[in-house]
This record gives sequence, structure tokens and C-alpha cells, in this order.
Amino acid sequence: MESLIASISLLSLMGAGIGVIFSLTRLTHRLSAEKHYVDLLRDRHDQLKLLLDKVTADDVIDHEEWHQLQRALVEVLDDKKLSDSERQLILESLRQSSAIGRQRYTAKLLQRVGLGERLAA
Amino acid sequence: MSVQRGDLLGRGQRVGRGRYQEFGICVLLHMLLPLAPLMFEYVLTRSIDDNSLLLVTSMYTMAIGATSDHKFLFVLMLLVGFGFSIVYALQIGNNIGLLAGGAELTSTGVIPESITAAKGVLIGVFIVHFVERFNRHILERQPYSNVFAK
Repeated sequence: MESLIASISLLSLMGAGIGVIFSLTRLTHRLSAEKHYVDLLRDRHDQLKLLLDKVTADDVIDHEEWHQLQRALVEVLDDKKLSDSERQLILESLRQSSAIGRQRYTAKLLQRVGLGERLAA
Repeated sequence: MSVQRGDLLGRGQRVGRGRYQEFGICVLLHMLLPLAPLMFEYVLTRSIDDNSLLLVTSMYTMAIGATSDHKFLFVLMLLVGFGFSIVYALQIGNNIGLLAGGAELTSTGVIPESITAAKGVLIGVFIVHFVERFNRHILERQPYSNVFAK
């Protein structure tokens, strides 16, 4: 019976070990993707800031301004350096037909370029 | 149609607390607080009972695993926690003499391998979930809870 207890314990320990390796690998991939985005957006950051200042000057973003902002952000993200999965994510986001979906997508894009928190300030 | 500036942050995106603060609160409340029974036991007795460790490992692993939003980790943690539930039950059975055996046991009648494994699993689960929460709150900027939101 002791060997059974020891075996289950060690199997569980192995499971936890696999979990740790898996998580760390996932984190490494995620961090490299984050860095990739930062590199990609660094050159366009100021340009986006100026556009954001312009469209949010009166505290309300109308339909046209909203689309202008979205187009600019999509242009930045729709780069050849993007991987297939990133491109797929963008395409999927663009298919959002509801206002809430588009808002959330714009919010996500703004956060990617580090402007999300600033927008609500 | 027009939107307010705040609307662009989308649902579930709150600005009141920073992402590091969200992460810190999560680690404190979600990951460390459930270990309070072990901490109190250690503070009061200067040791942790082997059976307590096995029980907490099992419950902590399953509870933390159930909040994972990754399928593989979700299933893995539940399996690991379930494994330790069996280990705990077998140990209790062993202790009250239902199970025969002449192996070397700890002072509380627990097999040393299971205690070593329990410590490893507890640390492993903590790391797994710490990394997952780092992803969620720091990189993806998701809020931890709206309970303390204004």
C-alpha cells in the first residue's frame, strides 16, 4: 500500500512539474509577443497620441472620429511582421458587428499601444 | 452615434487600480490567503502536521486549478489535486491500521515520499498560477475583482 501512496504522490508531483514547465514556456512566448508588439508600435506611438488628442479634444468621440482612430490602429497592427495567429486575431476583431464589440476591440488596440489607461485619465 | 472616452476602455476594463496593484491583490487574496490555516498552524505550533499538509495540498491544488482559464492546466491541476485526495485518504486509512504495511513512516504515520511530493506540488501549483495570473493581470490587464471597485 505504501508503494501505491508513494506512486500516486510522485505522479502528482510529476504533473505539477509538467504544469510549471508548460506555464513558463507559455509565459516566455507571451513575453516575446509583447516585446514584438512594442517594437512594432514604437515608431507610431507619437503619431497615435496626436490622433488621440485630436479626436478626444471635446471628450466625445463621434462616429467618424471613432472609425478614423480604429483605422489608424489597424494600420499599425496590420504589419507584415505579424504572425498568422496575430493577423487572425485582428481579422476576427474586425468582423465584430456590434457597437460593443467594436468598442472592446478599439479598447484592446489602445491598450496594446499603451494608450488605454491614458484615454480614461 | 458617439461614444464617451471611458466607453472605449470596454467592459471589464477598469482604471481605478493599476495592473501591478491588481496582480498584487490577486496574489495576496487568491493565492496566499487560502494557505492561512497552514501559516497559523506553523505560527502556533512551530511545525506543520503531515496530514494537514496533504489535505491543504489537495484542496489548494483543486481550488486554484478550477480558476485557471487554460484547459490543459485546468485539467492537470484537478487531476493532481484529486491524486492528493486519494493519497490523503490512503494515509488516513493507513494511520488507523486499516492498511497493513511495514514501510518507514514519519512521526505522524505518513510516508515521507508523499510529504516531499506534497511540498513540491504546493510550490509547483503556486508557480503555475502565479505565472498565469501574471499573464492575466499584468500582460492582458484584466482586473482581478470588481468587489473593491468604486
